[in-house]
Parts: sequence; structure tokens; C-alpha cells
Amino acid sequence: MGDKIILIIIKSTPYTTLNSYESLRTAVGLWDHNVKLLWSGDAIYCLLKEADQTQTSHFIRDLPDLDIEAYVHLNSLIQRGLSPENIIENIEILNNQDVTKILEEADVSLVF
Amino acid sequence: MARLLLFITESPFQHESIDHALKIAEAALKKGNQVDIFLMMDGVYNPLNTQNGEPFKIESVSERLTRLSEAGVNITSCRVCMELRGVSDDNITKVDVGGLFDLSEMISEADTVITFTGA
Repeated sequence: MGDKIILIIIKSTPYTTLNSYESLRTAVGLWDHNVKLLWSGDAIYCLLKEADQTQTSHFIRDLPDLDIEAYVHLNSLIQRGLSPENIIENIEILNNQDVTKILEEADVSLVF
Repeated sequence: MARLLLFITESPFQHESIDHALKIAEAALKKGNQVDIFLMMDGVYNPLNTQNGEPFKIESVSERLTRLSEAGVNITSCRVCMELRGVSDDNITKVDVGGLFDLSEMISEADTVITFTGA
């Protein structure tokens, strides 16, 4: 059983690279640690309700069962003219202070 | 002595981050630290032993990885990423082939983790 708090930060735009898929595969693979996922910057487009989630939906569906916490950066949504209503369910919205807090709490950050 | 984990997803020769990662590994070793490297995504191209840096008058990344391995660095390459890219055990330098379970253990044992993902 892992004992680290691992924050996986997804910054890359989806579809251009495999980062979005591989970040989720990594999160699920590290499930025995305390894993948290944060979508930030252009990565938030991956979470749009209308986006093609063929590759990622099965991972996102399994996150609660694996106790993996999923977050999205509110400012990244606002900067792109989006709001929490535009993204899929079960993703917690974090403001800047909240993001700072989970960054401080993390033992390890993996950035994709 | 600290234990350092370098998490690399970048390909060789494309970005200078690989050079940074290897120099950090070399410096950490010189200071007596333990270094582990996990190669994922395009990072699995780094140990390809068919590399030839001669046209650019540079040393191949795989040769530098071999030297690090011989100096005691534990290097593990993601098997799924290798299979996806057609990289086989036969054409890579001396690294272990593993998976996310190995990454999980390496993270558990690491004091510090540095990512070289280009993100």
C-alpha cells in the first residue's frame, strides 16, 4: 500500500497528445496511493460534456471507486468562457486558494 | 543520502529536458544520492540502442543511460508504452521493463520526484 499523496496535474490540451489518456491511466495505476487529479489550463476541454470521451470515460467513471479525487481549476474554466455547468459531473470545482491547498498537501506532483 | 525519482515522458534529442534530467541524475549520483528513473510514453525511446548521435556530434542518450545504469541508477521503462511504440526488449540498452506498479513502488521509496513531461 502506497502512502504518498500524489497530485496528478493535467495541463495539456486533449486530443493533440496522449497526455490526457496517459495521465488518467497513471492515476488509476497508482490507486494504492492517495491520488488526486487536477485539470487545469487547456486540459479542462477534456471535461466538457460535449467532448468526445471515448478514450477517457472508463477511467473517469472508475475514479470514485478507487477513491481518486477529481478536481478542475475554476479560473481555467472562466478564462475560456466556460462554467461548471459545462463540464461532466463528479468533478469538484476548485478556486485558486483550494488549488494552492492541494498543492501544499501533495507529497508528489506529476504534471502531464 | 536522499532518493531521487526522475519521471520522464519526453523523447530523446527533441527537447533539452532529457539532457537536464540526465545531468541532474549524474550530479545527484556524484553527491552520493540514490537515483531512480521511470520512462513512460515517448520516454521509452531514450534507451534505444540503435541511436547514433554522430551526425550531430553528440553522445547518444542510450549510451548515457547505460553509463547511469552501470553507476547504480535503477531505470525502468513502461512495457505498455514500449509495445504501443514497437520498442522491444531486444533493441534497448540495459534497463528494467515494468509498469505502473513499479512506478508506484518507486514513488513510495522516493524522497523527491521530478517530472520531465514537457507539460
